Amino acid sequence: MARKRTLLKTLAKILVALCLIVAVGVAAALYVMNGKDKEHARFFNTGKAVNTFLGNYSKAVREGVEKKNPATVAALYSNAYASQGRGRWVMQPDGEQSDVAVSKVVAEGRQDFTKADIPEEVSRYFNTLASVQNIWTKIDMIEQIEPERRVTLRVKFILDGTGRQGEIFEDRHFYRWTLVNESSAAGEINWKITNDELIEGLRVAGDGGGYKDVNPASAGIDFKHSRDPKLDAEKYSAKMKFDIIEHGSGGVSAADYNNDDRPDIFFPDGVRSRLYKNVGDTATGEVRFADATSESGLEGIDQSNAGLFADVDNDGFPDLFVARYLAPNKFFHNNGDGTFTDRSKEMGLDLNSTSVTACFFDYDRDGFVDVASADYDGDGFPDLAVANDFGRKCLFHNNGDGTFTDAAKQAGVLDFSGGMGLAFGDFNDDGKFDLYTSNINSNQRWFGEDMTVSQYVRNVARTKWLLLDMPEYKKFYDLVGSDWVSIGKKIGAGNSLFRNRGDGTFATIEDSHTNRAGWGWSTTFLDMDNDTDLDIYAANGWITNKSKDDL
Amino acid sequence: MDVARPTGSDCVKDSRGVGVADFDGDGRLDMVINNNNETPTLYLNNLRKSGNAVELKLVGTRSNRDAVGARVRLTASGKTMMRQVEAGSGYASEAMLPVHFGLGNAERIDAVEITWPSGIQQRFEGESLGAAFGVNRLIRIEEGTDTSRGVTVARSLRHSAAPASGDIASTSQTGGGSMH
Repeated sequence: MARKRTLLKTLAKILVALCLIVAVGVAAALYVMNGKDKEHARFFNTGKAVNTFLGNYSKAVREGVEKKNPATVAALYSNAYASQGRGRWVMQPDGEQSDVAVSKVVAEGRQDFTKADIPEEVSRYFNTLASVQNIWTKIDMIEQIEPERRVTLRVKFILDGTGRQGEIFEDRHFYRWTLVNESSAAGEINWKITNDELIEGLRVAGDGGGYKDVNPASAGIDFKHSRDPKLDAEKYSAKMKFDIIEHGSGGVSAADYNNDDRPDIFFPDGVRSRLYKNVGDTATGEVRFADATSESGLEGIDQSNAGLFADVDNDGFPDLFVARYLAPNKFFHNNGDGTFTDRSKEMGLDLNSTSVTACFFDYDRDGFVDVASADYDGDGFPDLAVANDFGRKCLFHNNGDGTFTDAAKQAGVLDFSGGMGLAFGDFNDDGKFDLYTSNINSNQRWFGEDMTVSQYVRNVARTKWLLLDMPEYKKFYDLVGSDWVSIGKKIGAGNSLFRNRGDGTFATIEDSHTNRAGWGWSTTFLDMDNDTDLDIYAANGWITNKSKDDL
Repeated sequence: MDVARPTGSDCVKDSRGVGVADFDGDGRLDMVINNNNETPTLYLNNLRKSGNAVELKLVGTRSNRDAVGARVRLTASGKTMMRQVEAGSGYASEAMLPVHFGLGNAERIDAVEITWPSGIQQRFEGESLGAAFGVNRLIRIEEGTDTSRGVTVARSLRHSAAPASGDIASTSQTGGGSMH
């Protein structure tokens, strides 16, 4: 009996001790979390204030150009501003390429700069501008941050303007700025530039006539892209988690379906996909298309994202494969007389053709966004590269026996980012296919989500994300080890260009001037000016942002 | 280097897919762009300084008929370039099947080498080039013909632009160079 009581007592003691430990642990966790939340709030506040400051800088430049007065810009510099050995930044002609004249911004001399030197410097830049159309001043990369006190960052300054000779141009400058908070009031931030440094700057100028923006309707194309009404984000996005499907649609194919050597156009669409027959006159260069959707028997294809033509049965006429989301894919056989017959059922999925395999890898709703195919290692078997949204790239090496192995890590093209598209092309003419990837690039998002540590912990606990994500973290760790920081930088950096080393691996090209294109979607290699060098066209755009197509 | 604005190809729509093709048959690549919830954009290439070009339409006999996956190496003015036949590239997009080579100031083609998906290799050089291989043409090449009998001119390309600036050799670039 006595032994039992002693045992109970001991148990009670242990229980009390455990409770105490848990209570202290929880209190400590809450304290740390609270501290972290405060730290985060300051961090967030800092980022927000930097974005506001950059916005003000854009405004100051626009106002200054209009008033021909550098004072608005100079006011953003600290009285304590000092850049040693900065030199004057001047524009130097750097050759002409196709229809474009290029100037480089270079630092001239090694003169120390103080605030007194700023107005003249700004005026000299203003003098190269007749008018300004658009200005963006954006965070390219935060390099150092002391919350609410000091920030060193790389700034991307883009100005679309018109020059004194009527030429239109785009300036694309990268600076390193140090910003210091000069407000004495607590919680208030008043940034001033205390130091600046030129990283690189380019002006590309031309007459804007290189590509004639033809009104599609005047060329017979009366198409307007529509999203699938079934993908109404309000109603369904909770189910689908992410509205990429709603916003992601809009492929386009240029294919000669009737073998008359004039490329036709197919627009996959959410509501009604359309086929336009090229009926232009190649002898005179007249461009004309005719809607052939009905006559070809392709009426009523909805919910589609991509339509790819390939002569699957080798009868000489390209058939059409339509990739659809949330609906069965479709396969249309080309009858050779300008009409198609729906043979989706008969064909099944086991088609023995690279191109169609690529199609089948497309858009199966699980994050696979796009596929490009090329024999990157020259072993005679086509390999596949896949861009995954919110993840890494896959490079499927064709083993030649009907199977593929993911070789992205060994090949060095993991390329962590929000992958959207990729393209193979031999840009340096060494006989090996290089790889260009388009990724969603936005450093602003950093500060866009006001997620605190405690919120994150609560969310993780509530949604069991951590458990669900654990295998992903593990995979991530296996692939890259603990080098998280560089991945973070990579994700912010945008598109990537990889050079094929020829031994089955790729080298990242750092200074190709092809990243930072924006929110990337489609990307393609082409020699646009027939100068024998491959150019890159990358289409950009996102829901409400101002979108731009970059080359 | 971003030349979208000075060349007039910087449309401000919410772009998705890009289809590249020579719609007007002038040897200069045009683009059609599908824009989300918008009318599409049709860019006709009007670059004044544009070099010669050649477009090769490959027809497989033992390989798949579109010759998807074929690699073509073309030599002109001492420079060898490579393209591959693709059906589907970029984001949900497909470019025209014929492969396009910009040739700069080159007035003739020196060699063409094709590796067909079937594994067959064909090399046209010197005598075997034949009369069909010329600049500013759309040329049809059938697989497996050792002589140039399977090579025919489908159409000539209406070339109106001035030659691209710079000499071919000096504009060739290596890995670390800037793209344009």
